[in-house]
Amino acid sequence: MDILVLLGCLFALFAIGMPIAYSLGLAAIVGAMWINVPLEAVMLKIADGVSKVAMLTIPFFVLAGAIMAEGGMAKRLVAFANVLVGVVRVRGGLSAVNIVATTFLSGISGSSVADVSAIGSVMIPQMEKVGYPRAFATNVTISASVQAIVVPPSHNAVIYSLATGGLISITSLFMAGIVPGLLLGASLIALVIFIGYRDGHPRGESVPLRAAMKITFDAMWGLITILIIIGGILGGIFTAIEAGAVACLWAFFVTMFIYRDYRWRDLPALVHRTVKTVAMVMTLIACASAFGYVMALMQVPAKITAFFLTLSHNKELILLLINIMLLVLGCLMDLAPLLLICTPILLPVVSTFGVDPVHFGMIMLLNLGIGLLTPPVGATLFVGCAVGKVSMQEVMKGIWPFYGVMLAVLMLVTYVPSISLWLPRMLGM
Amino acid sequence: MTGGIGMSLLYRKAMDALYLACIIIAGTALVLISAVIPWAVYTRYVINRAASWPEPTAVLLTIVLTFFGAAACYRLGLHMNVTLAVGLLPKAWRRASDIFVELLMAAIALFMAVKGTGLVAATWANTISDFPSLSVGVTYLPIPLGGVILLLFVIEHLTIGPPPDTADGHETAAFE
Repeated sequence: MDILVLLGCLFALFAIGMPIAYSLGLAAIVGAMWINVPLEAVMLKIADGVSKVAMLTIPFFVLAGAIMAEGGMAKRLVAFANVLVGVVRVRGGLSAVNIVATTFLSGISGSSVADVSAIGSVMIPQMEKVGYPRAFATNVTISASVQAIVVPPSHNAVIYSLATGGLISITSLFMAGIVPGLLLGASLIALVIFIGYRDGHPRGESVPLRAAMKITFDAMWGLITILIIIGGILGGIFTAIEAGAVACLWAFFVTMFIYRDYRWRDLPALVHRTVKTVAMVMTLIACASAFGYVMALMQVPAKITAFFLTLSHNKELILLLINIMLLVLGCLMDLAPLLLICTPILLPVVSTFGVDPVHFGMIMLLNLGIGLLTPPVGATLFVGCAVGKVSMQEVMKGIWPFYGVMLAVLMLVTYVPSISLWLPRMLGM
Repeated sequence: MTGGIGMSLLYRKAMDALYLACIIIAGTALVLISAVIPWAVYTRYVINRAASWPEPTAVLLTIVLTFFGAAACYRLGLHMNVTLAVGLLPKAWRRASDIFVELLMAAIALFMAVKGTGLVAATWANTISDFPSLSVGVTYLPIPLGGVILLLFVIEHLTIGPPPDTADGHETAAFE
């Protein structure tokens, strides 16, 4: 009955269109009243939710990503990726350039939507100009952007870490995301090259050495951000929070003083946009903290675990069921709230089956990342259609091979734990 | 009638000013957060005497950023929500649902204002170890203040409607 009251109230609030963050808060209040928990405890949990040091990572990485993505980094990364891919001159070369550039930007922005806006606005017109269908170029861009959900500094990896109650370090998740992200990128490159040869897409063009050197030098300033984040954390120089803060300063320095693509008078608007994003996410985390507290008091995770055990004792089957459930939920809701709601419920279930929490984090991130490309609630899909100036119907017609590859990678990440765990274990995490 | 319109305009202007104040406060908090943590790195590696205050300061600023920023986001309808079911309703039902949501938002705003004030009062005598002169209650002040501001924005939505520049999520920096 407790579960019914708590989750029933939550889903009813979702259904009437109440903001997700406040739905979580209100459901927590109703749940607390139902089990006679003082409302002061709910208030305290909301306050505690935003008083964690780990939360500081969010404003830094959102701000650094926004500065880099909006400040002319994308066109330099595209040029650099063109240098790298141009060496092999394969058919579908520009598609591969798109994916490689997105891989680099993902390592800076941590956001799939930012990648699509930044890379898409450069790559989609460029691809169309040489003969690629616009919808195909959009599909390449949005599919590649899912890498940003798993590779460091993934904003959603930070959310997952917070959703585990700090059980899993952000650093472990950042390191665990590198191989799955690169695997996804490589698989998508294989797909676009296959489609390139099948459909006769144009070959990539090599860049003359002198120009290549200039482009590489130009892009290096931005790529140093990746070095600051990954190298700084791995080298023990910075914590994840400090890496975010230094990356933020570096992004500001490169954009304003080296690239000079961003005007000083645009900065207040950038801060304004970042404030709104950060406040939205923080509110979500604060209210989810109270909801998680009431859920724990009602022993919801334990009851859900018991329910899953009645279904099967087979780990592989349970992981498949969870994947299917998350794929469906990912079609209906945004990524961050799903991470905050589902992690405390599902992590105890998979832990019973011996699944590593870091590994499960990668499964959730990749799975829900695919959800960003599915209608009716796919933020990346919407932004991709807007940037690519194509209808959703056109994009959906050609997206199936990309879904296929992403699902294949999801299955690999699900059933081969070492893809996620090899790097963190090698680094002693 | 004219008096009613005049009052509406006055209330709208007051809410515009309040929104701007929220954004300036939250924006200043964001800029300060971005400055104090690099300062901690600087003191550790350059001066060789690590400062302990930047981290708790940044956490306190995060509370400010969250609760003032959240109220501002609500005014512009930026918080994530599930529109799938509501979108299927007839127009009249959708309007009724919107009003019901606003009333529930008023309830949660009141909860923040009342219970937040309680939290501030209960912790007022306690101090933070890194800042002995600062009361814990002060650090929680953004919660009731954010609740009151949220309530004022809900009243604006209910009486004169959302502001004309209410936008979709594309006006924000990317997160997902």
